[in-house]
Amino acid sequence: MATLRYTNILFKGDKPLWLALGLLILFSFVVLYSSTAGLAADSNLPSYYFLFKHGFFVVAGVAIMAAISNIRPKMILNVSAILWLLSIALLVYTLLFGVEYNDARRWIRLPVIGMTFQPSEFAKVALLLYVARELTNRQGVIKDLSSAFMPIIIPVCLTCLLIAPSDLSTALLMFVSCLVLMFVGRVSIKYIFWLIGIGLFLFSILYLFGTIFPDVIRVHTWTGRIDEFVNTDGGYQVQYSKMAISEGGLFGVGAGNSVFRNFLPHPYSDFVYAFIVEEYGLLGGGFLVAIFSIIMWRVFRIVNKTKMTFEALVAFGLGFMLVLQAFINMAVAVKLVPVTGLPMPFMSLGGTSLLFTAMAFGIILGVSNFLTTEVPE
Amino acid sequence: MSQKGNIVFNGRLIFAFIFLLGLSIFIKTAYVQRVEGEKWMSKRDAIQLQVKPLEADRGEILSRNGRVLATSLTYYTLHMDPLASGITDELFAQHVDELAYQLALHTDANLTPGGWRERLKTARETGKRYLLIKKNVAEDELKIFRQFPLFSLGRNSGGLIVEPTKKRERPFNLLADRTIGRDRENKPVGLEAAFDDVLSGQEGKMVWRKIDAGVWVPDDIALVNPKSGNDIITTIDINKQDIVESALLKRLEYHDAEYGTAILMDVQTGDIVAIANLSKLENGGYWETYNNAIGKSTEPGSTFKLATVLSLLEDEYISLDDSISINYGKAQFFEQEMVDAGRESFSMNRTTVQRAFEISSNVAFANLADYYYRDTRNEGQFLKNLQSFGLRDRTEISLLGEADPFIKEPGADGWSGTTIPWMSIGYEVQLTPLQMLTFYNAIANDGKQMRPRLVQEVRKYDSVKKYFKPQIINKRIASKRAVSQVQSLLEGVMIRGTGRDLQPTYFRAAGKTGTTQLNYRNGKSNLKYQASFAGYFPVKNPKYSCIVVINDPKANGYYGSTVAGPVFKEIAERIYSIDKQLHVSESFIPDRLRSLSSELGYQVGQSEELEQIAEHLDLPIDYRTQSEYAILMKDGQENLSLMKRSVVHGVIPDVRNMGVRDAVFALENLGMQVEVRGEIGKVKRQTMKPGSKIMRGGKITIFLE
Repeated sequence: MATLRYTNILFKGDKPLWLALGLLILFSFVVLYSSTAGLAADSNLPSYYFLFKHGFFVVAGVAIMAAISNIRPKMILNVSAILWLLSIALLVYTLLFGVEYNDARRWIRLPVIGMTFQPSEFAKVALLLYVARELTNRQGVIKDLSSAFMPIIIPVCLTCLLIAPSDLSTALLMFVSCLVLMFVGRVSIKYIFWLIGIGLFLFSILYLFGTIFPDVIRVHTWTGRIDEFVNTDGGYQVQYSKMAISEGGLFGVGAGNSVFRNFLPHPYSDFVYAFIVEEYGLLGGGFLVAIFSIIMWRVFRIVNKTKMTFEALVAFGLGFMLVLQAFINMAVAVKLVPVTGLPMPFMSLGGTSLLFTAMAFGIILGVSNFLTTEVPE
Repeated sequence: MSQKGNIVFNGRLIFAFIFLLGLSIFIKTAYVQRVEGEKWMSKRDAIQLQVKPLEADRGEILSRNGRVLATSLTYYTLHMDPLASGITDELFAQHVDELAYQLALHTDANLTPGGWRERLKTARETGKRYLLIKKNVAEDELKIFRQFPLFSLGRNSGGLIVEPTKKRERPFNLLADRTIGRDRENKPVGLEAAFDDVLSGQEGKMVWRKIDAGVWVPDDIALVNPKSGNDIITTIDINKQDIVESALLKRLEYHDAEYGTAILMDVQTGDIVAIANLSKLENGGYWETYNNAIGKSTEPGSTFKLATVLSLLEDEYISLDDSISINYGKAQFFEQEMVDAGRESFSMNRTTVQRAFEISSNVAFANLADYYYRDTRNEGQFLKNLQSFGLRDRTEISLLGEADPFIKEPGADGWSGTTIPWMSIGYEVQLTPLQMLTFYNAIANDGKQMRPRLVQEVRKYDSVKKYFKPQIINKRIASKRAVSQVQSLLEGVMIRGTGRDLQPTYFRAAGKTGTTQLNYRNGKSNLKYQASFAGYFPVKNPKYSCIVVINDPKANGYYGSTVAGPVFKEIAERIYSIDKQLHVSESFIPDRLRSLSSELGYQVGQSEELEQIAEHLDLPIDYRTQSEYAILMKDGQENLSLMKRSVVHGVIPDVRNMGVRDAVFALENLGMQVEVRGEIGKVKRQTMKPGSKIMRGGKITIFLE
């Protein structure tokens, strides 16, 4: 064991997980170079601009993963409340003073270095940590409504509501992930269904309200999307996406040969899956699905092995959320779910997302890293 | 169930869900491809998306000195789609004025900003999605257009439709135009055609979208970037090409000829330094319309006698001073009579081989060939010799469409008793000018036959992709003796024979005239001629060979010596004047050459150099001084002496009449500081008197004429 530790001083923790992440990251370079060709041309940047940018964040991301995997989960547990509070503060700040980009106020500009930063990405991780912590702390009374369910669901709603105005998709993803985590963390399923019931009830009230006052709530865009999803071939985005997927065939049109990158909205993030299938075919798409499935599997194995509740919950929550995000991104492209705007972890352009995804996997790897040395309490 | 066990159990449920989600994504992906695929593919075609090839930048054709002979420039046609996706009503209203203003400023459509504004608005209202903005926009200008309001929204959203077209430009216009060639239009020709695969590069791909009925627009950026072609470096020297082409043109106009061709070849390498092909146009002007130098073989006439005489000498049937019969310029071969063209023959019964060649007697060589080769056992020998002279093969120059040489085979159709005599004087055989020149060049090159080379290198940017070495066709086309004998024949032509008026003024050339009757078969009315001249220069260490062929001159004579020869002479003289390699010592000779030929004497300089000049000019020197400096004295009628010009040590020498270089050299060697006044010429005056004592480091000023 000691020699293994010694030879793998950098990549600590679950090796297959490291390998899967590594493959994913390598693939992301090929994909992004081609998918950002149009974006680079539009911005009058050299074609390799985004490749280098991505490379920079990948290096930083891998460093973060490696560093965090050395932190004992216990320490994460200790700081999780503070992180969550910090994320709430940042989200409020963003809502009030954030930078607007693409009609959404999701960004804050960091002082001094001048880079923009997306607090919702940070909040994603922070919230999951916080929920895992609360679930762990309340295991004794976990079936209780007022001393377990309510104290957990309220912070979840608060965070999600702060994100929802600018990024509904991410807010929903987080909400669903938290509910799933609560389910796994043994919160009474009764209350979860209750919550869903209340949610549906509130939504229908809202819907009715919207049909009466269409100017206040954009009900028609919701219904439009649902209607489009259920009754048609999908909007032009999905149509292009499916054309791209058909174009790809089994082996794809080859790296750099995508036609539809010029037509797909955001071939480097929202529709990266369609782009990948076009260039690398069904095999490329299958590879991606397989990689994320493997990641989920490895996370599940870690959960299985750990003796610590917090470790199990935090690993599961983060892993589930990121893999779900990846699968939703893919599901949109093949019209399994209505159009949302979720990027694919690691495969999409975007520095903040990459760094916090790396942070999340760093934590998971940390859990696997300290598995054997921790003594059960 | 334990707490942990519960967590794991719930987690397992979720894990199963995730796994199923992944599986269903994969299945749905396959479903979209396999089941819905056809629908989506037809939908793709219906939304009218096309991938078309995107032309690559064609490589450049360069001269041997790197000047651009042909290059591709891209121009753009700009249209606007006022209904492009990014142009909202709001944006349009906001920016239309500024855009109209910019368009009025940068287009020449004679529209005011108000006019443009109307056009843009009408187009948007009526749904015209392909509004012409400007044609023939250069790369730099396009950048400006891209920054206009709305257009700056970018590809597919700003409405600017950019369609590139490539134009091939030939900066030197007429010069070697046909040899450089054309890459498209009717039929590709010249180097453009022969090196098309090298030049053309690799096509890219571009997506075209249909934006309106019948309106296809290309995407702004390439789907697959094309790979630009390689450049080719030719052997053509554009300055020499200019000399050759203009010399030919002048003569064609003067003689109102049908077409003419002239090729200048580097003797040692076979490089085609210049190649001109001018044909008369309907409007009476001349242009490069057909590569007669390579694409068309004609009966060469008397220039072919070189092959005949070389064959006879090679087979050792004759020697140059053999007395042969020319029978007052007349001969009968079966029912056909042969007559000499030159008047001199009519007063001669017999003469030497040398003289017969110099005056280009048809009868002499027809008789000789008939006598030695008519025998059926020997006719094959003549053909065999022609084969080894390279006259029966194409030169395999790197151009398409080289015509085959035509030389009859014994026993073949049309072979008769008169074939050998007529063939010997250049009839009943056909050669291209280049094939003939390749033969003459071999003679100039002491028997070593080089393949004509037109392309030296294929390059991509600065790296050489392929280098074409000078190629030897035949190391020795005939014995050293025979070759040197025909060299002296060619030299003799220029001294005493049909080319005596064509001898360049400052050096010597060798060559042979030729005059071919073109339509001798159609009776004697309205005869047409082809005048030609092939030769090389200078006689000692020949540097260039050159052939000039002028077809159907209609005015001012028709002989090779008066029509084609003068082109050769002008080319030789002008090439000589600019080609530094031809001069023994570049700074020294040109001025002196002129004065030597006029004054032939009183030149002061280094003995060795003076000697070189004299040798170069084939001027015999009777007396040579051993001293370093000498004065060149005219000695009697023709001969020269190099008399001692002494430099006395320790005293200032007399540098008057010396060239500036020699004067400075001599004085500086004595430790003087020399100041030169005046531009050119010999030293007229010097500040310190000859014979006065030298002071080291002393200053002396010399004044030039």
